[in-house]
Amino acid sequence: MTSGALMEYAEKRALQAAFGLTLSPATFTSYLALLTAAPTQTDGTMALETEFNVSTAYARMSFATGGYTGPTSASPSAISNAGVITYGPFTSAPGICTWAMAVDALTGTTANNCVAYLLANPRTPLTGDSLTAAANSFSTTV
Amino acid sequence: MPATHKYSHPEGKGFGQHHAEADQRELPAEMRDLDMADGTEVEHVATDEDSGRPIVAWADAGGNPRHTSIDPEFFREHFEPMAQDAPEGV
Repeated sequence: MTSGALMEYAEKRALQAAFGLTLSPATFTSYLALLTAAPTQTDGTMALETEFNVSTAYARMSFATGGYTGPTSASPSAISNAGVITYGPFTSAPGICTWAMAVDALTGTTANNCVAYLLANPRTPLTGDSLTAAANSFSTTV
Repeated sequence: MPATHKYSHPEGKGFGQHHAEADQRELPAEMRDLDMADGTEVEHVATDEDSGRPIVAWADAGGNPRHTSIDPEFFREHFEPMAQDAPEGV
């Protein structure tokens, strides 16, 4: 299991929710992006992150594929992906995936960074491969 | 999922298989099971903002939801548009 760290955008939303403030947007679909390097943590968006290139047939996958497990009734509460998340098939080798980032858009560099995950085991898919993450492999606590 | 296109390969090859063979690589069995097989119906759900590549949603043989971005030329050559059902009453 890979544990996530909330990025500033998600921290602010968490605090807004805790104090009953209006969230804007109220809801969004969370997508999991694959990175080849640690997040820069500079401007809070995907603009400066080294993501797998779409030229390899890569596309972000919905984090909620198969739903969520949690938030749990525990302290700290935790949430994770309830279903398998699979990328590819890749038309060329996309590089070594060392990090993942939950973001709020399917495409584009203006997507907000929400939660960063350091992979326990880097993954190196080859041409034609698909890359699979098991259920509950990405977990986040507050 | 409302399918908009069907992946079609003249030799019946999967999407990943086609590209692996072009790279002189034989796809392992577990990867063939995860491949986009010939005849897979997909939905064109978005276009990548930066590259203009179509992003299609589909389900693999295990029923897992997938997203794949496609080279525009390959998309034109291998993804056949599917007729959309007419709305009721039309």
